Amino acid sequence: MIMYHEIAEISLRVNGENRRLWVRAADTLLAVLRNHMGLTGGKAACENGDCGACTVLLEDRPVKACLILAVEVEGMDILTIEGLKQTEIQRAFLENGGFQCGYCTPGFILNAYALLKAHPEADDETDKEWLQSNICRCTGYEGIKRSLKAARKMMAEGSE
Amino acid sequence: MISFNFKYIRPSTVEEAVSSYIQLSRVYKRVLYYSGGTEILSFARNHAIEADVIIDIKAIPECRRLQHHQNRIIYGAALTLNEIIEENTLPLLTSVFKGIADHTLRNRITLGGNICSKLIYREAVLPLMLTEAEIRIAGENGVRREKFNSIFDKSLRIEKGELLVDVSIDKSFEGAGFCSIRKVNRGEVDYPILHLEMLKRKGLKAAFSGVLNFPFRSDAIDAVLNDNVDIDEMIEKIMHLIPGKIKQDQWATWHYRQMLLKKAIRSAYTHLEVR
Ligand SMILES: Cc1cc2nc3c(=O)[nH]c(=O)nc-3n(C[C@H](O)[C@H](O)[C@H](O)COP(=O)(O)OP(=O)(O)OC[C@H]3O[C@@H](n4cnc5c(N)ncnc54)[C@H](O)[C@@H]3O)c2cc1C
Ligand code: FES
Ligand code: FES
Repeated sequence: MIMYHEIAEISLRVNGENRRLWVRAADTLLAVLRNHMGLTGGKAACENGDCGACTVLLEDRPVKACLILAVEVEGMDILTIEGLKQTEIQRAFLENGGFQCGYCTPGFILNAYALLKAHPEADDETDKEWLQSNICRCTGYEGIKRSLKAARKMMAEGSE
Repeated sequence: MISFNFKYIRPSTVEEAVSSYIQLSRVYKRVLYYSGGTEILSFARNHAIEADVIIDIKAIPECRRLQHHQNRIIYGAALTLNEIIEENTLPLLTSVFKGIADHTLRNRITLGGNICSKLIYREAVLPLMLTEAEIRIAGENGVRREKFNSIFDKSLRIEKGELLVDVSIDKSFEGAGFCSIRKVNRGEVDYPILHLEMLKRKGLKAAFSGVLNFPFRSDAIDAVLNDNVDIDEMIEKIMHLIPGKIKQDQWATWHYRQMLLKKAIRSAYTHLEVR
């Protein structure tokens, strides 16, 4: 049985690197990423599970880091936007008007990245189901949908 | 940010979880089982819930299994909704769970956490009400098995410190026809202002969420559904059997909800009768 008192030393594997940190057991993963590790890509917006601006990948699955405790995810693989480099989805967002103010973008990109990995050939219904987890107040979503399609095309062409 | 502190423990067996709960409750006032954490953390941020100790049940293999055993399928209480959806063991479960929250949240929300949620919706209970599900509950005196419908009355009637371990459903429900009607105020991802599930197997059965302050089903409503009366008469009779006052809130007036409910019963009934 594992037990942590109010303050605990844990080790987190973020973007492929192990880090030992002192955290409060009540600290959310989002708070630890932003305030202890300086990884501010994930945003603290609603902190209520509604908006998806805090999305990170946990063992390849998108999760909302505002509703997870850091102590829960010890030893698991966490990917934040800072760990994503030169991917098709990032390029597609740049080239297809996938963002305007950019506040929601890290969450959308990570969610879309996980979607492309899990379902390289997903239909529109699956795309919609996944992307509905994130809210964008600027783009009207068309640029985001276009970016996802473009990234899928780039990936398909790359693997031919 | 959560502005108060708590201890966190992660037991690896059901016995450890229950005995920790009992022992810690002697010292601390507020001990909570913790599953997906989505409700506990969002409530904690607003001080709608406070805890001295939380007991995370996700490392307990019994609470994490999805297993076929004889003629039943067993779903551990700490399985996430997406883990159950992806296995697609029973189409009814898959369909209902896909309507709950959003895809990313369903990677954390668990079956047990939804059943024990303090909010009024608890949509995961609807298929359990319709499929004669059984549950196992662990407490001070060991593990007991209960019929879901005999222990769920507005909420799950378990004692303080009892842990929902798993849910099991007979495999024969796999082929049963069903109709889901879920209405939200705006968009697609939201709590329902009405959710009706109707199942056809040896007659029709219905279960509801979003209509009252709790999810419900009733033998009397099921009897009317199978009474072979004129459909308008049937709907009026059902309206008189709703076990409470239809909700009115900022998302829908009671009048609008009642209209949606009548329409939903008509569509589901027609759909399943034709089948
Ligand atoms: C933005 C958002 C939208 C949502 N939309 C919907 C929706 O449309 N419909 C819907 O039904 N739900 C919806 N939910 C989910 C719901 O409100 C709860 O957050 C969720 O069901 C809780 O599940 P959990 O596993 O995270 O539970 P937790 O937060 O871990 O626990 C919830 C409660 O259950 C108790 N508990 C947990 N597991 C057990 C167990 N095994 N035995 C005994 N007690 C236990 C805990 O002590 C706690 O009191 C939504 C949630 C969010 C954040
Ligand atoms: S900040 Fe986490 S969902 Fe909005
Ligand atoms: S680009 Fe501004 S919120 Fe999405």
